Parts: sequence; structure tokens; C-alpha cells
Amino acid sequence: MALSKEERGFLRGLHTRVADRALEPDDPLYEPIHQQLNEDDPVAIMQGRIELADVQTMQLFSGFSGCGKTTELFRLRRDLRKQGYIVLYADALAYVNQFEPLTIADMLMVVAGAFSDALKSDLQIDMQQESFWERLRRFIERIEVRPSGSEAKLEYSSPGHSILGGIKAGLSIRAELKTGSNFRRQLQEFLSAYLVQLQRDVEQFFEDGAKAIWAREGEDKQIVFILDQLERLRGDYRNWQQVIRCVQQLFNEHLDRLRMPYVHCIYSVPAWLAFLAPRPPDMTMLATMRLWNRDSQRTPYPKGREIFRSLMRRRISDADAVRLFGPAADAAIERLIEACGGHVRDLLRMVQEVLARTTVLPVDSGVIDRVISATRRDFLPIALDDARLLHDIGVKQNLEPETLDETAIERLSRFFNTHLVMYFENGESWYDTHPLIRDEVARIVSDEKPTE
Amino acid sequence: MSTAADAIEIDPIERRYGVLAAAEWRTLLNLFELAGGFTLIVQVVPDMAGARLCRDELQTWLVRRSRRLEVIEPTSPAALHVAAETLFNLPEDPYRGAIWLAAAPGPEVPEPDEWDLAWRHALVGLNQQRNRLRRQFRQPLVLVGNDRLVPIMQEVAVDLWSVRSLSLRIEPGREALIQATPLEPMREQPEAFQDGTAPDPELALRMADRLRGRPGQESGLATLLARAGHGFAARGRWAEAEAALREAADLFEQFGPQPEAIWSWITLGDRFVATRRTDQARNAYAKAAATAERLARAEPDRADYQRDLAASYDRMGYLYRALGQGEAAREAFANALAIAERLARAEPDRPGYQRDLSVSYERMGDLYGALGQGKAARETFAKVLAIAERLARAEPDRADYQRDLAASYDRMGDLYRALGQGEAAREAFAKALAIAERLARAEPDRAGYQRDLSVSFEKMGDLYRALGQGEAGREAFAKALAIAERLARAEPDRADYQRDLSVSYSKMGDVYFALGQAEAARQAYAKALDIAERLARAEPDRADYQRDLGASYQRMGDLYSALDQGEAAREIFAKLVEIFERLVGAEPDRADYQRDLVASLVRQAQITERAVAREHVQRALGIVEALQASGRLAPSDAWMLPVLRQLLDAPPP
Repeated sequence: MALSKEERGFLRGLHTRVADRALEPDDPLYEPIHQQLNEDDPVAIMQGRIELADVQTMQLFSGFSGCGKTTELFRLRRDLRKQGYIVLYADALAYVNQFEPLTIADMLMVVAGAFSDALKSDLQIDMQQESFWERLRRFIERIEVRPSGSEAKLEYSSPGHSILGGIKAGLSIRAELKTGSNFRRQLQEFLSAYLVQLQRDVEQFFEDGAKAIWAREGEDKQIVFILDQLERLRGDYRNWQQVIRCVQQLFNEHLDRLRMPYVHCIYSVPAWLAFLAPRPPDMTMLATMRLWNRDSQRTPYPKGREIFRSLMRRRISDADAVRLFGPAADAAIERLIEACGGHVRDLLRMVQEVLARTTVLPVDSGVIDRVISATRRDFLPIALDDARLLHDIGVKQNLEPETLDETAIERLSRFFNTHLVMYFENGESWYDTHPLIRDEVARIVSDEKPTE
Repeated sequence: MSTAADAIEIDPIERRYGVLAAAEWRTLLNLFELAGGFTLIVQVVPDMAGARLCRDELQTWLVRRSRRLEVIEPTSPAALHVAAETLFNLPEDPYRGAIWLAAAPGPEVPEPDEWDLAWRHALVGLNQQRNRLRRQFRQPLVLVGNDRLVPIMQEVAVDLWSVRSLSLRIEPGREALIQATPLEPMREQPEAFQDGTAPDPELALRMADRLRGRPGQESGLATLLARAGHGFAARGRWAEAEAALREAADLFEQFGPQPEAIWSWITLGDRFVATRRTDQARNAYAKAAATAERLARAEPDRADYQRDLAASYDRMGYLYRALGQGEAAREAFANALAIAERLARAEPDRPGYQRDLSVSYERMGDLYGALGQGKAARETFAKVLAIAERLARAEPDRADYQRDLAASYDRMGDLYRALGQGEAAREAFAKALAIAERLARAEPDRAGYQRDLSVSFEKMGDLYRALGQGEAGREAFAKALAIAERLARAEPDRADYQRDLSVSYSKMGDVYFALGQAEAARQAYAKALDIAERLARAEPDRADYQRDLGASYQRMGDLYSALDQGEAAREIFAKLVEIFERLVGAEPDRADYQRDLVASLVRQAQITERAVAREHVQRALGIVEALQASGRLAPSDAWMLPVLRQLLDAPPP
């Protein structure tokens, strides 16, 4: 029997509520996951560092795809604002191309450019009409000083002449940064040669920005700048190795250059940086919400399930749940929570898929079976090499890669980003495989053994 | 209108080699005046450039007497080998005033032994036919060679040697003494805060105050103090800068090394150098290097730590060089170079690393030059040029690469000039000038390019002057001066433009001096001196301004001395000595200041009555002997000792 108009409206309403998006902490749909656990709250950790350090800090924040980083950064912003901080937020993807290698020169431009734009959009401060982009143009134009060795004369040059030719021709630096154009490559190479000067310029821009804010708000106000989404840098099939190398160099070698005067900077960065030794300092990882404990039986973790149930209730009330799933709604929801492995985004996507597959209310359990089956299918096929490593991770509930070269990093990143592997933190860091693939991984590994 | 004083002739040999050499030369000319018939003169010169200079002078002198010079200048050892035959085959010529047989290979010739062998053969031939020489030639014969000529002659042609009428040496003397190798201006740190990027020091201090006394915040406090220090330094508020940087550096040292600590120490070190606090500078650079070493050891893969370490070594080398500790300087520069080479090898496509490497080669090349190792210098500068050419070829539109290329051509030009290879020098300078002109034409409003052009004109001018092409030199210097005047007028508050202008006036004065236009020279020197005095008065702590002032006094004093205005010259030279006494007093370790003092004492001796002159020379000799005894006398200055002893034996009137 076809769904009635009213039933379709009901499903549409639910679909809207389970749509995946970053939530502000005051949103009724927001579930305060980390606040309910008697464990380290990453937002509280970051806020604590800022409060203790006073004048300026730099922190990295990360987590794997879909674990709610942006939502938590929104919470941090709200909490800091409540404490009287001036918080600026920017999305790095408005400035960088995630499929192109990012150098420190790019990063400095992005950081300052994003800060400049946020000053204007969030605080309506236009720095006397001089945005960072305009300063950057002048920087490139500005002279470089070095002595000629002749009678103490100093020679000056304008090395950026050829670069500026492009800008004068109407290209926007900001727009070009998002491309892989020849101009961008030239700009990148050029600025790499004048890195220290660029850094000074960027620092000066931050100082001027801070002064502009303080001129209006008072010098006792502390400033926080959050640059989100940098974790999405991943390259594509042609250049992933180069992109990984660049990111590694950026956050390994040049991290200090990203400290800005008088501003607490928070950068969201690729999570695989946490694998590296030494791990970058002041890096906070947002773990996956765990549904089981770290033991061989994977005994359930009731608190985690409770939180997920609460999260679902904010989006689908008990009454609506019964209407959707029937009298066994709790069991149906439990099945979906179990299948999501602790990923909120996956849970919401599965519910959306249930809604899409619904032809009759309440849905029968077969729909849920098919949705879970389809989710499992998305992980397959698993290559033998991958299965071996996944099996090892599942057995040890830990990550012990033999190497951490670009290939290994890319592989692990893929595992985490596709949720084949999850990262947990409850007093200790540990890893496990997704519940939906464990049987398949075990089968592949066991099938392989007789032939060895 | 010319005055009588304007009519003086300034001897190019004096200009180049000083009054001792000029006096020797005048002796030769006197002999020419006196002697009738054949006389044998043995003349030692440093290299072929010196030989050519003397040759041209002699030619001019003879032409004025309606006679000509017969020149035999073998271009190869083989040609010298048969020089005796060449000589005896000369046809009779009633207008021949003298015969000039010259082969004076400089230290850079690829086969010095072959030239020695050729001289031996030629001298043996001449020795065997010494009577024929007397019979066949009724003019003086001048044998011109390098310092190997006399010992060879004494060994294989002792008879010929015994009949010589005169042996003379045209070598660097007093003039070179006064032109002590200047300590180059410190290379501008790319890491330095520049106009428009200097932090607000007051703000940084206010923020730092928030962190004082808070355990765990020392690193943040140090960062803010360093920022304040750099801000004060950029504003010339040095006392505050030093205090802030010192506190920052101490905190960094106490609470863990950080890259900012390196640059705090280096900035302090640079300031100590500029303000003549050598020991403190050495200590600051050593701490910078130690911090960089610690960081680099902890994370050997971090290229930035390696670069900081190289920068620290570079500064150490610079200081050691100034202190006359050549070997220590070489070691420090070699350490910096090794790092640059390693980084450039690891990432050959990174232009930044290639440029670092190029700068390191430059440093080594300069040092080799100062140590008198011309061949090594040339090879090193060739590497610099190769890098610059490669980068410029790869990206011809990059103005900075073009500028690097021009600078490399200039360096090669300087080296060729020093080696007496005038044409090669001219070609190199011309290439640099062409680039400077192109860039200046492309962006005429850019002061920097105009300055580049001015430097290029000055280099050409210097070369023309050295080649004896005074008028061409004057034109080049006039162009440079016009640019310097324009820039100084546009931004009168800029001390560097004022300094440029002073240099340009001095150079114009030199040209007028060389052309015998004494009044014009005096006016130009007076303008240069005025600027130098103004700058030195404004910043009395700055040693470089004091040295500039010294250079201006020296020029003015020379002029008065040449014009026989002894009293004025004495007064000026007394001020000159006073400047360097002050500098030496403040920094007794600085070998370069000691050298300057030696030069000013000798200059003063030249115009003082005999007894006092002896005292001055004695004192100068004492300084040089002390430098030698402490191993700080540069090999290229070793000639000072015999020259000073000779002066002591026969002090100038």
C-alpha cells in the first residue's frame, strides 16, 4: 500500500531532522556527547590551554571524518565567547584546494587571508580598508634588501615583478590559491624563497588585527582564531603522496611559523599527524564515541549506547520512532546504533536510508536488514593486504604499522576516513575495526591461511 | 678656471701602488734622464696588470720626449723561452727610447713553473751574450718580471745581474696600507624585521608582563620578549632591544632551546659587532650556534634548524674574519657551506636552497680572496655564477634571479680586476650593467633598481679608472652620482641614501684627482666628508660610520698632501689616526681596525718631519709585528712587514 500524503510529510520531516550537518551547541538537535562522559572533554582541554596560557597559543585539533569536529569547534567557540573571548572562525576550504599540495607559504597566506576575511565578516573590522590580500600584493612588490659588497651600498630588488604581472592582469590571489594553476605554482615557489619575510608580514598583520580588535573591545579581550577543515587535505590519485609529504613537512617542520602573535590559533589538521613520532605538541584528537570496551569480547559500553539513544531521541521522538519502526522501535534503533560502530554520521545516514526505503509504516525489519547490509556492502571488497592489516588491528585493538611512509599513511588514512578502523580514547588510545566488517575480514584471512 | 694647483699630475702608479712604489718609479725615470746608452734595469711587479701599468707610463713619458718604447711581452712560456733571440733580432731604430721585456705572471697563472723555466732559459741566453747587449743596444733594457725574477737571475744569470744599473720593485705599499680590506657590511638578514613588518615593542612588552612570574609560561614570555626586542631594534632603540633580547635569550636557554633563541642571539651579536663589543659578539654568536646545534641534533631532518645553524656559523665566520683569524673563519664558513651543500643536494629543485648555497660559496670565495688564494676564489665564484645562470635560465622573468646573476657577474668582474684581467673584468661588469639597465628601464620608479644601476655604473667607473681610461671612468661615476643625488633628494631622511651619495662624491673626487683636477676633487671630497661627518655625529656608536669618516679624511688628506698643503694634510691625518685609535681602543681584538691604524700612521708619517715620522712607522711596525706574532696577520698582508721595515730604514721626508 502506498504511503499517504501525510505519511510522506512525516517521513520528510524526519529526514530533515536526521540530515547530517555541523551543529551549533545551542541547536536542539545537538547532543552533548563529550560532556556526559566522565572522560577528557577535548573542548574543555583546548579551552583550558587557552585560559592558562593567556596571551597566545597554537593548538591542533583533529579527528577522523564524521566524528563531529566542526560541531565541537562550534561548542568551543560558544564556550569561549561566553568567557568573553573574541572568537573568529574560518573554513580553510574556502582558501585551499584539498587536492593540491599545501606548502608553508600557502598556509601562511591562507591563515592570514582567512583571519583578514573573518575580521570583516565576523567583526566588521576592515583594517582601514587594507585586507591581508592587499598587503600580500604589496609584500610581493616590496623590496628585498641585500648588500652588493660594493662600498657598503645595499642593493634592492623587486623579485616579485613577474608574479605581480599576474595579479595586475586581474587574477585574485585568493581565488588562485584554490586552483592548481601555473600562477599559483609560481607564487608558491616565489614565496618559498622569501618565507621568513612572509612570516614576518603575516605576523604583523595579526598584530595589526589584534590592535584593531582591542581598539574597539579593549586590550583585556583575548582573541581566538579557529581555522577549520584543514584535515581534508588529501590530494587525489595522482598526487596523494606529494600532498601527504607536504602536509607532513608543514606541520613537522614549520609548525612554529603558524604561531601568531596575540592570538590563540586553533587549526584542524589531518588526523594521521597523530601517528607520527613525535606527535605535534598540543594536538587534541576527537575520538569516535565508543560502544564497546577494549577487551577481547568487546563487552558493551552502556554509557555510549545511552548517549547514542539520547542523540536519536533529539531527532526522532519516541512517538515518532514507534510510528516509524513499530512497537519494536527500541530494538530497531539499537540495531542501527550497533551497526554504525560509533559514527554519528553513519548512524544518521542509515536512518536516512531507512526513510528512503520506507514504503509502508511502520517499516518492517527487513528494511533495517537491507540498510545494514547495504552499509556493509559499502566497505567491500576488502583487498587481502588490507584484510591482513585490519585483522591485526582488530585482534590487537591497536595500531602497530611496520612503517609510516606515505603509502602507509595513505592506507591508514583511508581506513579511518572510510571508517574501516576507528580511534577511541578513554584514558588510553586504542583502535578497532568496524563491527560490520569483522566477519568478512576474518573470513578473508582464514581463507588465505590454508594456501600459505 | 684652473689654478696652479690644478695642474698637478697624479701618478697612476702612486694611485695604485702608493708613494713608495711611485718613488721607485721616479728613480727609474731619473735614471732614464741621466743615463746615455745601454743600461740594464730589473723591475719586479706583482703581475702583468702592474707591468702594463708601468709600461703605459713609460710609453707616455718617452712619447713626450719624442721617443718610443720597444715592447716585448711574451704571451706564453714558449715565447719567453726565445726572448733573447727576439731581442737580438730587433732592427735598429733611432727613435727607440727603451726596450721593455716583460713577463710577470701573477699568482693565478696555471703553469708558474713553466714561466720560471722560460725565464731561466731567456736569462741564460742574455747572460751569455751580455757583451752583445751592450754593443747592440744604446737604450735602457728593462727586464720586468714577478718576484721570482730576481732569485732566478741571481741563480742563472749572475753576470748579467751584476751589471744591472737599477733594480726596483713596484708593489703595493702605502696606498694599500691605507686601503685596509674593509669589513664588509653585514649581510642584511632575511630574518630581520624590515620596514612595515617591525612589531610594536611596547605592545609585546605589555603582553609579556602578563606572563611574568607565572610558572610554565616562560617560553611564551620569552617569545614575547624576543618580539619586543626585535621591535625595539627595528626602531633603533638599542638599549631596550638589548635588554629584551637578552632576557628572552636567557629564558630560552633556561627553559629549552627554541628557534627564536637563535635569532635573538644573532641579533644581539650583530648589534655587538656594530657597536664594537667583540667579546660579547663572539659569545652571542657562539650561543646562537650552540642552540642551533642542539636543535639540529635533536631533529636532524629539520631543514630549518640546519639553515639556522648555517646562519650561526656564517656569523661566526664573519666575526673571525674581522678579527683576522683566517683559519677559524674558514672553518666556520666551511661548516655553513657543508650544510648548504647537503640541503641543496637533498632537494636540488628548491631554488631557496640553491640560493643559500650560492651565498655560502660567495662567503668562501671572499675569504679565499682575502687569504690570497685567488685560484680557489675564482673556482668558488664560478660556482656562484653557475647557480645564478641556471636559476635565471630556468625562469628568465624572475627579477630576483636576474639580480643574482648581475651580482655574480659583478663578483667575477671584481675578481678578474684583481687578477689584472681587465678585458674579462670589463665583460663581466658590462653584463651586470646590462641587466641593471634592463630592470631599471622596466620599472623606472623603483628606487631599488636605480640603486642597482648606480652600483653598476660605479663598478664600470672603477674599472675604467684602473685601466687608465679616466674620461670613461668620469662619465660612469657621473651617472652613478646623478642617481645617488636623485635618490637622496627624494628621501633625505634615509641614512643609506646619504651614505651612497657620500660614496659617489668620493668616487667622483677620485676621478678628478686622477685627472689632475685638484679643485674639483677637493669640492667633491668636501661634500663626501660633510655627509660622513653628519652621519657619524648622528650615530657616534656606529663603527661603520666612523670608518666612512676615516675614509673621507684619508682622501682629503691625500689631496692636501699632493697639493703640498702639508699643514692641512697633517691636521686631517691626525684626525684619521684619532678615529682608528679610538676604534682599536674599543676593540683591540679587531685585526681590521689595527690594520686601519697602521695605514693611518704610515700616512701621517709621510708628511711629518723625520724624527716624528720614524716614531709613527715604528708604532705601525709594532702593530703589524704583534698581529703576526698572534697569528692574525692575513697572508695577503704579509708584505707589510718588509715595507714598514724599509720605511723605517729610510723614512720619507
